[in-house]
Amino acid sequence: MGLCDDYQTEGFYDEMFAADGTPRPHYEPLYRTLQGMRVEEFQARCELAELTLIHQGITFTVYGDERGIEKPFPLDLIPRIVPAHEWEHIERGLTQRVRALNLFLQDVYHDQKICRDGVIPRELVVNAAHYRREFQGARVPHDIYVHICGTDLVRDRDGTYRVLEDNCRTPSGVSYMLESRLILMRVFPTLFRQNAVRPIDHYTTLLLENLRELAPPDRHDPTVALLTPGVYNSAYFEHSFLAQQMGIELVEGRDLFVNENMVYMKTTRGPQRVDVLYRRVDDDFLDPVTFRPDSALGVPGLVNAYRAGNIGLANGIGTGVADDKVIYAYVPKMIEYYLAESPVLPNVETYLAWRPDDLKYIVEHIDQMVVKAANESGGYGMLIGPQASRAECREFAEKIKADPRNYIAQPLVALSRCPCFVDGRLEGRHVDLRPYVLCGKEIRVVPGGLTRVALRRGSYVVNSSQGGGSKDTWVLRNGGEEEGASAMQQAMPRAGGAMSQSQRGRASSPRTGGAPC
Amino acid sequence: MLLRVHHKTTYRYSAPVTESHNEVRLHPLTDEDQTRLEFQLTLSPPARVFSYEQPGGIVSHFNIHVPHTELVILAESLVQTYRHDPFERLNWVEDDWGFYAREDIRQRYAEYLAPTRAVPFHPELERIAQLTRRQAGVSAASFLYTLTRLLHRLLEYKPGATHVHTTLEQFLENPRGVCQDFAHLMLAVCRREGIPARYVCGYLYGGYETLEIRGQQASHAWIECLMPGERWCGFDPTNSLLVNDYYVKAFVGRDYSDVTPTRGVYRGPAHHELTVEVDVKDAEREADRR
Amino acid sequence: MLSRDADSCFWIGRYIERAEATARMIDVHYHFRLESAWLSEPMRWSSILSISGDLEEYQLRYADEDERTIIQFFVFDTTNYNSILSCIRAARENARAIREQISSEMWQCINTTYLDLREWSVERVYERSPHSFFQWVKDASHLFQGIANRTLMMGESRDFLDAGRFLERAGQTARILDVRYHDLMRLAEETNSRAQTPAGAEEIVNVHGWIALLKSVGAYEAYRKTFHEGVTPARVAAFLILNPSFPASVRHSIGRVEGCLRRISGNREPTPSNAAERAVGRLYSELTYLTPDEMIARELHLFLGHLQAQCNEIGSAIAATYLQY
Repeated sequence: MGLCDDYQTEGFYDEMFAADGTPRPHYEPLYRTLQGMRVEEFQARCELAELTLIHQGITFTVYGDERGIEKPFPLDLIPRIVPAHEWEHIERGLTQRVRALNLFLQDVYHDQKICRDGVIPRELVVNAAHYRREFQGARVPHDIYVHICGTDLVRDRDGTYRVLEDNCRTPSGVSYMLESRLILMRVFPTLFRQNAVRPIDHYTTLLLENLRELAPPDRHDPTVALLTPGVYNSAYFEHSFLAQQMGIELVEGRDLFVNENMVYMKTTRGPQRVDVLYRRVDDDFLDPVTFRPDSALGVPGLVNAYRAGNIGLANGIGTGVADDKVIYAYVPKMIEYYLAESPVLPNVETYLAWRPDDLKYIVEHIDQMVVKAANESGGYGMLIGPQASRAECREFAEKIKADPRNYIAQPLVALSRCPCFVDGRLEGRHVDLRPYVLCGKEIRVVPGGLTRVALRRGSYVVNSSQGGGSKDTWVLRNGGEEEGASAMQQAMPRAGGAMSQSQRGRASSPRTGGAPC
Repeated sequence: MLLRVHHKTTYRYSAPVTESHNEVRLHPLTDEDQTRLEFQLTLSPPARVFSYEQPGGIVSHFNIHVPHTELVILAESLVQTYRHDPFERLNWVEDDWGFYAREDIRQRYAEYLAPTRAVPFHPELERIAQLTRRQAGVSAASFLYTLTRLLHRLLEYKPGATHVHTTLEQFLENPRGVCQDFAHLMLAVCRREGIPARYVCGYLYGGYETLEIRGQQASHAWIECLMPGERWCGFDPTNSLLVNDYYVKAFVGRDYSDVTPTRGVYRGPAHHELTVEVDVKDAEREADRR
Repeated sequence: MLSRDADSCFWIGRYIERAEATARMIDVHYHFRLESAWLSEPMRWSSILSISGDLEEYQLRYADEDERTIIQFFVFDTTNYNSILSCIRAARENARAIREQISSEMWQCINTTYLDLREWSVERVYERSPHSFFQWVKDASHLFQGIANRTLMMGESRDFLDAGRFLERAGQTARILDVRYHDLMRLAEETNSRAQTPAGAEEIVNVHGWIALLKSVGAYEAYRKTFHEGVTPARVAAFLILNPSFPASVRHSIGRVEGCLRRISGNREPTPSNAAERAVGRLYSELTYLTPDEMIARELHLFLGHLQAQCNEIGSAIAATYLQY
């Protein structure tokens, strides 16, 4: 019996199987491999993957769990495969979106034309929780505010990709994207030969290039460092991983100091000037002089040094206004306003409690909607109406009425599903997709992303803090679907070749997964 | 008037401070009410000063990396003020509230209509507004002037009763405080009534004789409201006065946290002692005397 | 290199070495007690509490000095900052903070060691034989050092790691010698003053006691190769302090620390370029020019106290020069 035999799509859009139960063409090679594999065999590979994760310490931290503060990131081994034409669409949509978001940020921190022209009410912008009034009028390098954007995409019941939210502050998860790929290459080396999967390992190279562009113009070989809140931050693994991959210093606030608007790090050879910071510390904690005075994570004077143009920051300050879920609802209008284009990727339909009519509708239909606080993330501060009790709905409705500006509601999107290996068999689980957009002199999207999975049956919450896991995401090369089958036929003799090599006592560990991580 | 302002802030530490970063908002503004003619910032220990403009005024900042047990920030300025008659151009007879309902006005001044952490919308505000309406005439200016005087009557001026972090709720429960508390409360009432209002930090000249004017010894705070015709007009609930040319504006913002005259962080002992001396003089009179 | 990262390297070196020293000490003590069990006044557990400087701490927390409690205290008690588990955990925390500085093999080794160590308990140590457990700890330390030698770039991180390791080693050797010397002299006195001592008691104290001491710093075989005559207190002390070639002798360790510091600063002049070099250079020349006889004449206990104080001073000077400014 094959692994996929009793798999059910249960009426959802399934990434791997069409509604009639046949595998989609781009999943064909994987389907055949899985069908030819015994459960025990698959199980063994899962264990191998898990062991690798634990031993390499690929973990995230769960707040409020005092015992083991680190947990390995749950990785499901069935990849999520995106065919070339779908990716081309996503790439075009994300590029367009991030261009508009940067124009928007440049505008709201200067002339606010979009408000004056009545496209977005000004009150939504200047009273947004993460709008930084102090930064009004400040110039930033190349007028770019968001250099790294992680936009969350979902697919609805008919398979349409929609934007669920943008992360313009400090999007995380890219290390899991890179590590998942390395682990899959180790665990299923042959699958990569059968599928024309586009590589993603140049992400950190591109990122470093982008960061170097942010250095003050007179600095020819700039020093770049990654600013982390420290080892107890939930994404510390990622900070350390990225710093290592880029070969830059990983610094904490206490390693840096500012003197006369220049930023230095304390090294064993004395102070050394820093030109660019990839900061993974939120605005609020970045600088106790300008923002929260109680922050011990930040660097006193950093914000003024940035303003003076002596250090580049990625992402810029004040980008959180674009993450506000009320502002999100206006992104399609922004695209039309700034680019005179129509949006390639639609939003999820969104009701703004701030508008009286919408508020009435939300309160009346709360049991059918997903309600979100405008400035919360990580799956916190939200209500999933269809899965909530009546009392919870009532309680949430009161909260919305008390503070309508800070709530939005969306119909529950029947997120697409992807097969996952659960308790010895394949079951469908809801997924989303977070590709990473790098925005420098040009905008680049690495072909892939973090596919997050809601591992609990029926759950729609994919956040790692709420029991989510991940999948490797394979973007296929153009024509990859057709290539798949012919590559498959070549796979056998090549595998044989590798075997004889190892019998000669050389290269016993396959080079495919050989990159250290 | 031509006013000379002398503002000296001294921090004393019980042990040496090795690193100190500071932002100050002490430059008097130049706007339709006043012109900054001179400004000088003197620091001890000396440090290089950087300045830039923010919405609301000019920010200066500096850092000190030599060990010190005392930090003195001395700001001296010479300012020409113009609003000789604050009653001029104010409408006392016509109902002009329609101005505040205009959508363009509500959007253009949105930040001065929203509650903030220091200016929350408390239910008590409605009662104060009702009380004011009962005594006031039909115009917005009349409402605001009445409110200024009402707050002056209702609240007790008592230095030391509150500190910079006292919340509006605490102040309403125990209505004793200083200019900052008066200003925050008046801002809250105005914004809830839909009148754009902003916090002003600055200085007040006390006159030649020793008048009983509050807020002379330190920097003073009052508010400005947007009047029909789209111009700002100052109200000082602490002294029950309309703001005239005795007032010098240094910085405006949504509440105190936007305008803090001096703020910073330092590495050193946990406690410090702060003294502030403010002196405002009539520069013309001074020159005559000489 | 970032000062904080250098600090972490330095302390990883110290913590791993400290864990190994503790494992050696308990292992040898455990076995020496077995050999001397029939003496009327066998070697007490409290003496190793003095070596680690934990006697008071221990007595505050535990009533008995029974073996299991002692092992619990030295190996698994996380409230004891010097227990093996605490040291490995601290080393791992430091390694985690500088993962991007060290090689991934080093991180994996230390992470795996920590995770494995957490699976052990006093019960399991007895089940598997204490010796094999302590051997495992020593092996883990050696594995880490070997991996570091093989995979970590020559350079500052490596020099700080080694400086921490050798400074810790010098201090540990001086400390073990100090306490053991004192114990053995006391035992010898007690054995001699007694009218009736069991046959062979003298040999146990005067010979096996010193052999156990040598073993506890991994020096027995090296000592044998150096001295073909018997084991005497003076020779043991001279060997452990002044021998230039034995890797755990104080002189050798301090020499290595000096080498690291000189590489870090790049100073090739005979004179020191900073406080850390001055402190380490002073101690190293003292140990180089001192003869064994002069040393014994100086009253060993005082001399060992002086060595430990010098090691602390070197540690403070390194911190002040490079790590915390």
